[in-house]
Amino acid sequence: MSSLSPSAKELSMSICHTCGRANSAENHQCERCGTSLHMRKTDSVQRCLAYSVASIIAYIPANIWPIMNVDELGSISHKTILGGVVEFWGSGVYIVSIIIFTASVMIPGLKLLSLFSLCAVAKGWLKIDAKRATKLYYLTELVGRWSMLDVFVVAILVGLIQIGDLMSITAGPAAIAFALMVILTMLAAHSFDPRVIWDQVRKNEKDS
Amino acid sequence: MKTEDTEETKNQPAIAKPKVSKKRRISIVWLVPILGILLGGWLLINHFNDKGKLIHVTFKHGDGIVSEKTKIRCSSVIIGKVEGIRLNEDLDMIVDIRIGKEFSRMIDANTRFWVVRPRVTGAGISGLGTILSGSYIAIDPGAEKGKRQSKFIGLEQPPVTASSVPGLRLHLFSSDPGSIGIGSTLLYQGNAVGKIESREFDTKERVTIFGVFIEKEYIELISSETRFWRDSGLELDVGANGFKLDLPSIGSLLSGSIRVDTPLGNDAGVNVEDGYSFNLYNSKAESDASCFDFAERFLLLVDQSVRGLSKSAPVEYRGLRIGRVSEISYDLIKETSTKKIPILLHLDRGLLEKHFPLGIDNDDEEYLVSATKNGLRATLKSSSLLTGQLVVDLDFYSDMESQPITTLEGYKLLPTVESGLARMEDRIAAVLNKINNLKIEDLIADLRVTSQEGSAAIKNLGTMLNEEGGIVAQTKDTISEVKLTLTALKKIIESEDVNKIPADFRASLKSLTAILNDHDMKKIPKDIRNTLGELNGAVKPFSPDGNLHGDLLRTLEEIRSTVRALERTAKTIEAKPNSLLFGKDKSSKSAPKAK
Repeated sequence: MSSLSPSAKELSMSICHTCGRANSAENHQCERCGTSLHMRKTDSVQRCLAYSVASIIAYIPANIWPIMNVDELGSISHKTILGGVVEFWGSGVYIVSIIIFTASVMIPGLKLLSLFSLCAVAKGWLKIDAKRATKLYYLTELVGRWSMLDVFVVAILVGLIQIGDLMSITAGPAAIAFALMVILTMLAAHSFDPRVIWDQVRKNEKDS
Repeated sequence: MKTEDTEETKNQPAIAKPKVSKKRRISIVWLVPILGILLGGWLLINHFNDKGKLIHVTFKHGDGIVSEKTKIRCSSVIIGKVEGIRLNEDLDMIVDIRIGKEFSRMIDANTRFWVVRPRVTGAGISGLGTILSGSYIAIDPGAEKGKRQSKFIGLEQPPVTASSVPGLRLHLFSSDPGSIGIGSTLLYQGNAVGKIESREFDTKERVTIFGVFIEKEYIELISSETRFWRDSGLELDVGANGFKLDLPSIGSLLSGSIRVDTPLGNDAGVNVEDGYSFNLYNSKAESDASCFDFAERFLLLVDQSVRGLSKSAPVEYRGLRIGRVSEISYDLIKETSTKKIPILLHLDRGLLEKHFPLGIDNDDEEYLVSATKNGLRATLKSSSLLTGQLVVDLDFYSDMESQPITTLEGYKLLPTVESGLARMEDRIAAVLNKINNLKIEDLIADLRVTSQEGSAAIKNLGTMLNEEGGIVAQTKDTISEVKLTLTALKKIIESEDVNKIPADFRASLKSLTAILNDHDMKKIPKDIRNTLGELNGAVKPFSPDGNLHGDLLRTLEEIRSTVRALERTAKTIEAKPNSLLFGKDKSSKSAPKAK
C-alpha cells in the first residue's frame, strides 16, 4: 500500500456516472453525454449514515410489531418475526426457522452494521483494510435485495389465505416498517461511494 | 457538435476553471431519519395512549381464558383483551385485562365480570357460540357510575339480567330454598314476572339469600305486602272429590319457581325500591299465615295460661291483623322472678304506621307510646271457642290508667290486661262470693216466719170477715138506737115541758124540728142504710161463699209454693254455686232414680 499510482481525482479526472467516460475534472458536464460530473457521490458518507439511522428506526417496530395477523376461527393471533422464528424452532422446523431468522433479522442487522462500519472507515474513525472494506460494500449491496423476502412472504400469504371465517391473514404494521427498513438500507448502500475508502487510505498515507 | 465544443474548450484554457466544491455541508438526506424519529415517536406515543386501562380481575374458575386471546366483550362488542393470567396465593386466577381506551370509562366499581362459556341449566342453554370461538369474558358496566378501580372480583355465574335492564331488584330470604336456583322464574298468576339472579348462602344467619329481578312492566305488582312462596311443583290433593293432581310446567318442575302474590284484603302496601327484602315462604299456606319479619318487636308479660297461643298466632288490633306472635319462651328474658310468661310480638311497621301514626298528632319517637298512654292494652283473646285458639288482641280500655311503654332487657314492654274471659271469670267469682256471703239460711228462716205471719194475718182477716155479719148487726142496732133517740127527742119536743121553754126556744126547737123534718134530713138514715147495704155487698165476696174468697185462698197457696221453691233454690245454690250460671246439673236429675 505504500505507493499507489495517482488516483483519477489526483489527476483531475472524473468519470461520468452515466456513460463511464473519463472526463477532465475541469469539465462541468460529461464530454460525451452531458451529464453533470461529480468527483465523488454527493455527501456519500452523510447520506449513507442518514439512511442507516432511519433504517435503524424502522428496524425496531419491524421486529416488535406483528407482521401478520392470523384470524383462525375467530381468534386472531398476531405473529411477529421473532415470534415466528421461535414458533418454527419450537415445532422442530429448524431450517425454516434459520432461514427466516437469517433473512429477516440477521442480514438486515449485519447490513446496518456493515454500513456503519463502512462510514466509519470512510471517515477514518475505524481502520479496516481498504480492500476488505470494499468487498464488504459489494457484499452489502448484493445481499440487500434478498432482505425483501419477508415482505414477499407476507404479501403472498395475505393474497392466498383468505378463507373467510375459517382462516384469513392480514398484513401487520411491521410489514410496512420492515419494507421501509429494507428500502432505507438499500438507499444507504446505494448512496455510499466506495472510492471514499481509498481516499481515506491516500490521506492516511500522505499524513504519515 | 458537442465534441467540437469540448475540444474547443480544451484548447482554450482561458475559460474559467470549474469550481470543485469542497464545502462541508449537511446533507438534506438527514431529514429522512429525523422524519423517521418523529414518525416513530408519534407512533410510540399513540401506542401508549391507545393502550387503554389495565385491570385485574380475580376468578375462582377461569376455564377457557387464554392469555392474549380471550376477549372482553360488552354486549358482544369487543372492548378489550386478556393480557396475562397469573395465580395468587389462594390459587385463584388473576386475569390481567387491557380495556380499550375508548371503553375504559365503562369500568368502575359497579362493573361485573364473568366468563361466558357453554352452560346448560334448568333455565336453558347459553353460551353455545363459545364452543367454537372459545370462552370470553363479558362485562356489565353497571347502571350507575362508581368509583374507578383496577382490581375486581369476577362472578362465578353470569348475572341473569344486565344491571342496565330496567327493573326492580329485591332480596328473598329462605331457610329452605329447595331447588330454587339462578334462573328460576317468578310467577304472578302464572305469568313470568321476573327471575332469580343470584343465590347465596349466609353461613352466619343460615339463610339462603336470593337476588330477584322483577321486570319493569311488573314492578307495580310488587308492594311491601307482596308475598313470595316456593311453588311446590307437583301437588297431589286427596279429598272428598277424589284425587287432584296439579302438575306445573316442565320448566318450573325442573328449575323450580316462585309464586308471587299480593294477598287480597290487604291494602296495596307501599311501593318498594331496589334492595327491599322479602321472606320466601315454603308454601302458600305458610305465606298466608304470613310473617311480619320487618317489624317492630314488643314483649308481653302475661300472667295467665298461654295454652292455645301458638307461635305465629296473629296479633290483632280490634280484629285487624297487624302482626304475629314470634316467640313464647322464658328464655326471652333473664329475669326469672316473675311468674309471667314472656311473649314476643312482631308487629308490622306499615300497619302500625297506619293505625298509630307517628309524629302526626304526637311527637312519639316510637310506636304505640301515646296509644298505651290512652289505654291501649294487649290481651289474650280466644279466637275460637271450639279449639281454644288464642290470639293477641290490642284494644283501648277506657278504665285503664295511663301506662307508658317501658323497656325490659332491650325489649319494649307492652302493657297487658287480663283477657276478657279471665276478667269475666273474676267477675263471676266476685258475684258468687257475694252470694256466698249472703247468709241465705237466715233469710230463708226470716222468710218462713214472715210467710207464717202472713198466713196468720190472712186467717185473721178471714175470721174477721166471717164475723162481718156482727158488725152489720151492730150498725143496724146503732141505727135503730138512733131512731129511738130521735123518737124520744120527738116525744120530748112534743111534751108539755118543752112548751114551757120560752117561746124563742120553742121557736128554735120548732125550727129544729122543721130541720129534722126536713126532707134532706129524713134522707140521711136512708143514705146510711144504703151505705151499709153497699158495704155489705162489698164484703160479701170475701165471705166463704163469695167468689174472691177462693182467689185469696189460691193466692195464698201460690205464695206458699213460691216460698217452697225459693227454699229449694237456695239449697241448690248452697250446694252448687255455679248452677246459678250453668243451670241444674242434668245428671243429678236422673241420678236418684231408683230401680
